[in-house]
Amino acid sequence: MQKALSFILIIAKNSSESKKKIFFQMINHTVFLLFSVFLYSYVYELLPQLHGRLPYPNAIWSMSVYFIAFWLGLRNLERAFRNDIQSGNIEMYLLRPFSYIRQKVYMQIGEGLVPFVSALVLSVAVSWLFVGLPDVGMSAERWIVFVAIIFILSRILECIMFVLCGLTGFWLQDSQPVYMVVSKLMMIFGGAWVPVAFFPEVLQKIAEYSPFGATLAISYAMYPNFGTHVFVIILNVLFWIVAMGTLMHVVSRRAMQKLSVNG
Amino acid sequence: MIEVKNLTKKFQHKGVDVVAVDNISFTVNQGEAVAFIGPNGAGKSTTIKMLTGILWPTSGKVEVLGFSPQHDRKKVVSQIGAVFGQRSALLLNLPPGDTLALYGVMYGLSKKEITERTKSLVHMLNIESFVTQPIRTLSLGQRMRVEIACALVHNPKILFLDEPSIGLDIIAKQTLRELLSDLRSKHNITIFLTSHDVGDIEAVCDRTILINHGRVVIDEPTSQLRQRIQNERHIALHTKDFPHLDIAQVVRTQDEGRTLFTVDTSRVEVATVLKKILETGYTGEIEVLSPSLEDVLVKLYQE
Repeated sequence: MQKALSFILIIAKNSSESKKKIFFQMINHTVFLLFSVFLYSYVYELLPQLHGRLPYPNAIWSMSVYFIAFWLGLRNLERAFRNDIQSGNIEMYLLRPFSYIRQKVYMQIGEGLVPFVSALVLSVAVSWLFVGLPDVGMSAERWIVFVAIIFILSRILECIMFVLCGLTGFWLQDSQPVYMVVSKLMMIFGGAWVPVAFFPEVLQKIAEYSPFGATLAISYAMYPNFGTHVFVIILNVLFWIVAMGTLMHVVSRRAMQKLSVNG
Repeated sequence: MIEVKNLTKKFQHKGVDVVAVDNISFTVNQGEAVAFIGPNGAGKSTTIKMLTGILWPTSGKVEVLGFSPQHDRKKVVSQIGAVFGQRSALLLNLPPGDTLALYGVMYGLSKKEITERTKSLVHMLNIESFVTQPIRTLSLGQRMRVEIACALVHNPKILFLDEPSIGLDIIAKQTLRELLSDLRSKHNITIFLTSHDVGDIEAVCDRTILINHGRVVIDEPTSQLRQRIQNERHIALHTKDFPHLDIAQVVRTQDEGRTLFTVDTSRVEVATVLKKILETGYTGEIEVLSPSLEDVLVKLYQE
């Protein structure tokens, strides 16, 4: 754990050297947040019946946490794998006594750490300021603990999913088409475009129990029925972590044996 | 220390097997400095990648420090260092110390060990003058020194170097060669080097393994290589219009405005050739040259 933390902090230091870049990223993030707040406010005024499906504050928090998860940049793992495989740079990572996957995951977390923390502070501040805390059927303290647990678990699942996408590059050379399909499914079923609460009921179930929706399970922690669903959500994410993690383990072993790097 | 037995690596290209390394065997003992050379596509890099656990062999056996680099990758890589001249994994925005710290963390060194090791490597590799500069601002030679420092952070027993001098100027090359020789003599590190630069081989390695078409062609002391064409001499005339000599054992070639006669001294004496040249009335400059190691290698590669 200490090793991982030191690794991540050194990479974060390297990535945060460009302070201007992070500043502009956060302006972009704030604009997006404010745009969502005002756009949803307008839609809820036009269609007041939406409150019955998902109250306005919950919708804002749902969008807000999606944006926070986005800044960790775990989806970039696929691109990092693709670049390493295509350029042959993967060999540099295989020369270290750390698994290739662990190095890339730590590097990505390190790279996304400063934007993520900044986005977290901004998102919580903006959402709280404009709509207050959402009513999720449990106390604020318990909600924060469960949000943290689900956030960590769903990020682990997201890592595994994008690592799996990247590993397909050992066979396909270009894993981008696989990434496009997976990331779009994650965005749709995770409620990035429209909150899942607005989906038809059948689609809601598919979204909720598929691995794609599970990667953004944090959005469900913003819904009014979270208090009664919390353990189902956690178990669902855990199930997919075990299933996809096993698959990743098998695929990665085969991938390393298939590796070819030219002189 | 390194044992390779009947090692073969095949790649699939459009459904056809391409043999990159073909049933090679050799051993390297502790403290040796071995040049592993050959023309492009000979199988050098593929071999070094199998020795470091990056690639899996198709067949045969590899053991490094008593372990299989493929099955015990972590045990092997935690005792070896590697520098690949055409690749870099340095943290460009940070000074060398931070990259060294990252490597130290990966190799499981404590904070104290990292600080001490960084201090000693910065001194050993003469990094002091640029130790606070971000790596992106360093020259290629300076970056190479940092790469080597990273490869040495965990006190490896073997150092693998794949074309480490590529792109370096002559002073940086000289510094690198001195450094590698020092590492070997003072720290008893085994060096396994691939390079196209004959200077690297001559300055650093006392044994040369030549590989071509995936097979070991020569494995002998570097000093003996030159003797392979000890009977050959070149006579260079500073004119490009000099006619053929009427001696069957002499080969005439043109080289950058010069006429070059290659003489097999076991069959004809240099004096005989010189006499023949002077009889033509030539009064220009004449040089008699012994073949360089590069000449030897060119000849061996062509064979």
